[in-house]
Amino acid sequence: MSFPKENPQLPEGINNQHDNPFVDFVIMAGALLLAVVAISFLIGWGATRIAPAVPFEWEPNLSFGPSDVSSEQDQRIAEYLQQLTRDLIPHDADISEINVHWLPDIEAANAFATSGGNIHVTRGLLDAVKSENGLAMVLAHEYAHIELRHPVVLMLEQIGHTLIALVTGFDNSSAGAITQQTGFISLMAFSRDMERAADERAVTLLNAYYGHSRGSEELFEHILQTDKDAAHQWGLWQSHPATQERIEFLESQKKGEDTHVSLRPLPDWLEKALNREP
Amino acid sequence: MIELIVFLVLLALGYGFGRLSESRHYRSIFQREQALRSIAVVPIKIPPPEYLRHNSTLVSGSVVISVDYFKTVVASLRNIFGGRVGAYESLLDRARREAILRMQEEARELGAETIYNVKYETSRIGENAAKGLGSVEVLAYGTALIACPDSK
Amino acid sequence: MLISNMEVVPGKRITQHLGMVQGSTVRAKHAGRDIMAGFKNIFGGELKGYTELLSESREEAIERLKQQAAALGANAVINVRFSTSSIAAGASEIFVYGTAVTVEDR
Repeated sequence: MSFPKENPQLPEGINNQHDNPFVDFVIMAGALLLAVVAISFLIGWGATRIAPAVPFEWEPNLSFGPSDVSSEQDQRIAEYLQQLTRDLIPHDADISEINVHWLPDIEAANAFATSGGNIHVTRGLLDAVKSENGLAMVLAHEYAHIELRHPVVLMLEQIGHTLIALVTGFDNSSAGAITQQTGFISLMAFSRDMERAADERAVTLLNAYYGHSRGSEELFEHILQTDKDAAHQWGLWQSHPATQERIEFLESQKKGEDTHVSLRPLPDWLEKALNREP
Repeated sequence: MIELIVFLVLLALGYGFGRLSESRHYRSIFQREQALRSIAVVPIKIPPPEYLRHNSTLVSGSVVISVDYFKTVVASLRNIFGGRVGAYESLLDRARREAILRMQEEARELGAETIYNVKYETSRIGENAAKGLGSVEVLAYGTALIACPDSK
Repeated sequence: MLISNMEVVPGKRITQHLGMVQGSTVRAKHAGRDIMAGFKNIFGGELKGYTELLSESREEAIERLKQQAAALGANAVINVRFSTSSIAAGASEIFVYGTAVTVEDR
């Protein structure tokens, strides 16, 4: 029986294959991205199909801001916004009751729709628009979100993405982060599509009410003036299309309309309430 | 956007430096393995009769090797698809060989001829928040057999 | 290739010790299995997927051990030891090492 006098020379590459991890990475990362994009697309596609079938009554009633407006003036503004929205909605609409909430304390120009048929309008928004037409465009846009059941679509998409995140990102690893980023980007792509759809529907509603869609770009022009970067702010992470793109779309919808039609101004009392010259 | 840039920079740094340190480490391992080849490392418990009158003492070698960011990402991707994690295999291979080399170096300083009853111990340390592999410690230990001056 | 965790092989005579050989492999379970394991942790019972995975890993590690032994011209590996360590979440390493020897019939 002989014992070794020295260590044996073992061949390399048995316990370590010396393969390049980069190839491994590219294949797996590519496959994961493709899979997440494909699944996100399926979720988004499915959500937009399923949402209209969900009865409107099932939507949870979500709203923000003061439910009862304090001052008399705020009360009047809230009623005015409510009435304008009511006028814009087609008479044969399936969704009968829309609640408009007036947020007098928020300076940022913003309006948003939440599930259960709620529209919120901030003080900053009223400062931003010049005429009733401009305000009506925003209200019609938010109503379009509700009519097209976008709050439900969003909710379904979020449920779907939470499930994907559970499968891949449950251990909070970098692969999970890749998945979540990709999921978020596709969610935003769907969000931009929904904004475009809402713009399109809003123009139709304006045409039905005023007979034209002039003044619809007022808010976006205001955004451009206050924020120079906003014009082409377009990216995979943006929830809305670039402001410039939206203005161009609205302009393209006005072709052939009578350019001499005057815009309907905001009521005098409202101009005064906003500390502006009528 | 910034997150993505940070991620890509970390990935590139991890890949570049990880590859560099790995190839440098392997070169040093090959070289030292050749130099220390004469100190045989044997897992057998009972040494052959020629060592019966030798002195003996415990020798050990340990090393902690950290994973690079790139390998963590590859491994976490592997965790979704399943399968062999090549990135970690090379890490453990390096750690084991390094631990044996350090044990051999200790034995050489003691003037040992050979090391018997060699065993390994592997543990994971530095469990970080990302739950990836922080670093891995490998300990190799055995009994060094040292020739006594009067044993011949 | 004869694999044994004894230091002697019954009925055979060890003619030559060739040195230490080892085999190791790191494997990860895919996400689906991890989720199933999560459910199983609620109800208890055997995790068939994991059992399967670990025994596959062990087979691969032994296969590598045999490759190293064969490269040394051995026909048996004795005194084999296994060690399993979880080196990262969801990935486990199987390590096996032993002494490569040549044996012949007594």
